[in-house]
Amino acid sequence: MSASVHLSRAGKRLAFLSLLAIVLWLPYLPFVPYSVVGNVNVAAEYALVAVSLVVLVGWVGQISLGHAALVGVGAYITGLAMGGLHVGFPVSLLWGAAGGMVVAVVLGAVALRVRGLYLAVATLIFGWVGQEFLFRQAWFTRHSSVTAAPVGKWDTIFYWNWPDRKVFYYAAWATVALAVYLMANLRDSKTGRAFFAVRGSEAAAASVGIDVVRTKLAAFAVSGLLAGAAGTLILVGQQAVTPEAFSVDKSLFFLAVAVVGGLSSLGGAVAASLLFAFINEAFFRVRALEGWLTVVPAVLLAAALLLYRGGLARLPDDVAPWLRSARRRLDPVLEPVVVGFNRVADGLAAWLRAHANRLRGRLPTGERSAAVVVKRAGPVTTLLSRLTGGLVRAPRPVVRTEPPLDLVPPGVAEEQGPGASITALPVGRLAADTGSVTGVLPFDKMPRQPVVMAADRDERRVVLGVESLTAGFGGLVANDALSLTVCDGEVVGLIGPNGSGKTTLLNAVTGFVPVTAGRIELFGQDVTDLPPHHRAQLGLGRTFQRVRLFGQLSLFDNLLVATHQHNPTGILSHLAVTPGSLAAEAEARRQVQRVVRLLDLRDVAHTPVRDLPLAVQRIVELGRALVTGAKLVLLDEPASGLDATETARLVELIRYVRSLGVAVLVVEHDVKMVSDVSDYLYVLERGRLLAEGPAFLVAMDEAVIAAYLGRTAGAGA
Amino acid sequence: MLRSFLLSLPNVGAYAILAVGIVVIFRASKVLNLAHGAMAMVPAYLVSSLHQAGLPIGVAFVLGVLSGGVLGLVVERAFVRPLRQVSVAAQTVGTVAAFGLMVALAGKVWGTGTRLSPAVFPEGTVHIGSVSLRAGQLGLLAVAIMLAAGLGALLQLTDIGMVLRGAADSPRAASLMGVDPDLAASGAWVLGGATAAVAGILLAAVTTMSPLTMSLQAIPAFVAALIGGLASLGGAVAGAAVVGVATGIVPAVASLQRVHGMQQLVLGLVAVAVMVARGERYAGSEL
Amino acid sequence: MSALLEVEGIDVWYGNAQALRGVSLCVDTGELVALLGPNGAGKTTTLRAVAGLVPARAGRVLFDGQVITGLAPHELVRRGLAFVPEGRDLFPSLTVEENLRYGYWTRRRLGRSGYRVRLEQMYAWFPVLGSLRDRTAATLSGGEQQMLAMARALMPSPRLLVVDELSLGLAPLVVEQLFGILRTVNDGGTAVLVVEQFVALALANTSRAYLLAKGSVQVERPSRELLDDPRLVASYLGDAAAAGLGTVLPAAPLPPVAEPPEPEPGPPGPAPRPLRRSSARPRSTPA
Repeated sequence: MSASVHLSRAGKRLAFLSLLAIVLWLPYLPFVPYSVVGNVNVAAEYALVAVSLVVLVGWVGQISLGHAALVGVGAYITGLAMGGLHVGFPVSLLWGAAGGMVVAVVLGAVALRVRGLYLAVATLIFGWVGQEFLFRQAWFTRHSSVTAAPVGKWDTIFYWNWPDRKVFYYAAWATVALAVYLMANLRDSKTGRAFFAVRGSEAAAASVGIDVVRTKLAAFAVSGLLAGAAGTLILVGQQAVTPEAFSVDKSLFFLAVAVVGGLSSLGGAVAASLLFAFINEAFFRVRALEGWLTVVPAVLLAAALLLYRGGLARLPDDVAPWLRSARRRLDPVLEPVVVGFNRVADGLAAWLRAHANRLRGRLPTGERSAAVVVKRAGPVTTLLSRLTGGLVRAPRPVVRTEPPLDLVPPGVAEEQGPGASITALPVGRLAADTGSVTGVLPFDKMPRQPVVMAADRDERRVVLGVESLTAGFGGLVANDALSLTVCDGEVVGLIGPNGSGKTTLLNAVTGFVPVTAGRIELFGQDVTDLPPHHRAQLGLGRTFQRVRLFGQLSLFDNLLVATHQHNPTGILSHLAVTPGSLAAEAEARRQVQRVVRLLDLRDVAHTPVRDLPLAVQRIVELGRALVTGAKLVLLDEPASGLDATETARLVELIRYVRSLGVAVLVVEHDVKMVSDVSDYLYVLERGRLLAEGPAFLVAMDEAVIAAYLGRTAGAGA
Repeated sequence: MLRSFLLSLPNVGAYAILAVGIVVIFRASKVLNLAHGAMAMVPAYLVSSLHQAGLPIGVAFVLGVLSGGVLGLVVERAFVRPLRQVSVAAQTVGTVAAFGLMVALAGKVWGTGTRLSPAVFPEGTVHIGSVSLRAGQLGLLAVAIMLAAGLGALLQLTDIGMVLRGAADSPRAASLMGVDPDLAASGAWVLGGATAAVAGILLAAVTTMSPLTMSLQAIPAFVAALIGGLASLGGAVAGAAVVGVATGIVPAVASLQRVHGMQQLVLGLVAVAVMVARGERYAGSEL
Repeated sequence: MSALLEVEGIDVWYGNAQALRGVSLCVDTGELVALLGPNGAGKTTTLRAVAGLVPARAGRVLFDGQVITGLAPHELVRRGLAFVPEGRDLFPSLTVEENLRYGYWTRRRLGRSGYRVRLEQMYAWFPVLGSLRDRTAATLSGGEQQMLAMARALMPSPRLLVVDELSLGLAPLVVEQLFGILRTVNDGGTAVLVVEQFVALALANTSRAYLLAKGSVQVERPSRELLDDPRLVASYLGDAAAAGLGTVLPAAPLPPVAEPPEPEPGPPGPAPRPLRRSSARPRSTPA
């Protein structure tokens, strides 16, 4: 009983190339009828819209029920460009995309004011107005039928006769492939992370310096661009459009495609479009099913929503065990085939390599150094993984040294993300470096800078100054003329009974609650009117009472989001994966690595954060603030929900953070814990300052005790 | 001006009934029932078919209203409740799925062509000044007023109404008082579905529509409900009146008459203005 | 003699955080028991578990000898368990009398006369409410709302009244009033379990008290004795505070501070008042 035979490396490449060949030659394959090609082209159009929905609805969480209107805008503007300005086909894609983008940004401006289901209704109304008003205006729909002029020299291979479906196939799917490739680049970049962050928690995103408004508008712009381009494809592919093609139920259809695909998955969106196109074809051919076609999208949408959440993107994982067992049973039959195939492929590969070696000459030997070689997934597999949006997984990197050394830390390879590389290191250095990369160091043994504090608190630099702050909401005054300061390098505690206004103060300082009167100064600058992400960019970090992490992302990625404000690259460089953006990405990862090591989180760095215990989640939130480079961190009830051991560890951690030179303001109920860790303490009661002073003294003060326990407690002999 | 206002009255009646149903459901479940138009359309077609099959119009009407109630219950149980753990937005998308399903099935069963339903009210025209309205249209308006008043009375003056209002205010408090909030929510959906059915049946009697266009008639009703703040029945009716005025003005202004879809544009702008102006209410603060 | 309410070793989790670790307590028929502890100790969670609002992963709750863990909240009132949640949770759009009427919902079959009698009893116990009959609940002050919440919970003549955070946001005088009413209610035979922040008032008005901290019961004593127990102050404000009050416990070593020098050892008498301005005590660090 041998184990399953796998394709060799060369075998996999040969298989991939064969599939690619089939895809490229599809329209001209003998057994493929013309109508199928037409349907496959329609699938490309669906796919492009579905991808635009994945970006907007799946990644950023902005529900759009009127997307067909954006597609229609793209289509009609393309018509105007092609019919009125005589723009040729591939170029008119830019017109459609631009039209879609502009209208989408306008829609996005509305989205800034309303959220959730109200946004859904707003987009529905937008789609309805498009269908009833805009697409009935003669001046707008003047050129609703166009015939794209052929491009290129007749009778050469570069002659593209667009009205021919077989030719159009290439244009359509090249556009889709480009779109998916660009979106995949975007998803793995700083912009993509900002999208996920805004969807996960707008407050948390703002607290690490992400401009939520800009991010949302960027998402609408990108989505509109893709939808508009899809409109161009529809117009050119079908050569004429009517308003019915962009009606509200078409919007619902597109949404169904995206949801069936799994809503967050690019590969799923493409797969779902092919599925729907296939269904089109099938229902067309089978007489009995005629007329039921319109029901299918609704049924599939309901099924994907209610019964099989995660859509097609989930399918590979669910089906995998069945496939594995089926394969095991089929093995005796498959084995000779696979072995034969491998032999052919390996032979080809060997021949190619020999040929290439001969062309290149011998490989350079290099110096006698311990090169740590990281064997990453090949470029082909990476590309495939990108194009299918992760459905094909690139294998994990493998570490090998030449000559082999057992000093190599086992986790090193995993720490290097795509685009990074390790160059040759001299042996000695690696050995010395090993010491700093190993395991669990208790916080008190970790390297720290000495904390130099002025003797008298009055003489220290003020990091946070709150003057006479009055804030509240809904008619309730939660903070009444409060003043407090946090000085450089100290830990300040803020305590008080329920309803004393602690959290409101925190929210006012971080910018989430408007201030009625008073002043807030951060590092000497007046920030009273600044939005939260600006304050974050000045060096303010915070954690939340109920942990707000970005649930579906891994721990590492959660921290990576926080590098946002230090990453100077913009969305265009992310789309194009410029060397600059790769360098910035590598630097960001290095920074996160440092923090992960400091906080001793390497074991769980790649676990999705929602699977972690609460204590670790709180540490991650703190780490997120540290990654932003904050010099003042506000902690909102960090010990809430932790047991005694976890609380003790938290206290250690806060002390360590202070030793790094970061000032901390801790809001807490647990007076024991706070007096343990704070240098200075403020006590609030009913929105006013009750007492302040060195921690252990304040905790013993009678007035404070009375505030907590009521007048006569503890007074008994 | 008056003429166009009067001509738009029957529609106002339909919008008012639909808006009231939308608000009842929203207050109970915090979900905007985007399938409301479809829940109006299906009973209308059902009544038409039943009548053609020979049933007297009164019986068909009652059956139609009952079917609306059943539809409401089905949508709530099958499309909304299972998604409660996910989010309110997901539940709203669930109603969208229900919408698509109902429109598609209706198209399959009854065809996608337009049709006119049998008249529920006797034929005849009423003359007000220079405007002549069909009896059915006035009847729609009258029913709208009576329905809104009746529902209002039910909710304010009866015990059942009090239970529903309380459960809408705070499901948790209701359960602490011994009322099953899920049952109360389902009751609200049944009520919403039944009223939608009434609106649909009466509307189909006075205008010709296809399954899709009829289902989309709910959109002005959504705008009406939004204008009214989604808070009270009275607000919904007032919102419907505003919608009626806005759509009535358009045909009156000569220069705008020739522009297709102007009414819808005006409504859209009004809706956006309302939502943006009431920003905080519809933004839902995260903290 | 089994108690009216028995909580046996319940564990409650919120997501992946454990809020209660094996909490056990009991309340006998006609007792007045307090549940105390600092914030985050799990008092509200305990009451919520009793009321069925959160599930218990381990352990069970018995009421009158019957297991009630896992029952839906709306099934408990019928058995005689009434709950006044933190923040009251009234029906804001209903009037005072409607709120009270709602409370009587599970007893409505007993007829109008029973309702009238009970209503008058509430107005006798809470005279303020009598003058506010037709006011909407949202317009009442904090103290009036708390009274309404308690009266509403008492309408079905429960055998056990559970009150969470009686004094939240209320002035001490009002809280004393409320405790007075609780005592009257208790004299009438209703057992009471109350969570309260004003420890002194709570201990003065109850017969027995539990001290909860970090999710488990630390102390259970008759109220009068708990007043002098140093563990009470320690659990709220730490050992330093307890030590500072010169109680029987030896002065606990103060928590290590990051920089030397150590402040002077625990004083034998009452601690000096902390200074309002920043301390004149030098805090030098090793260079």
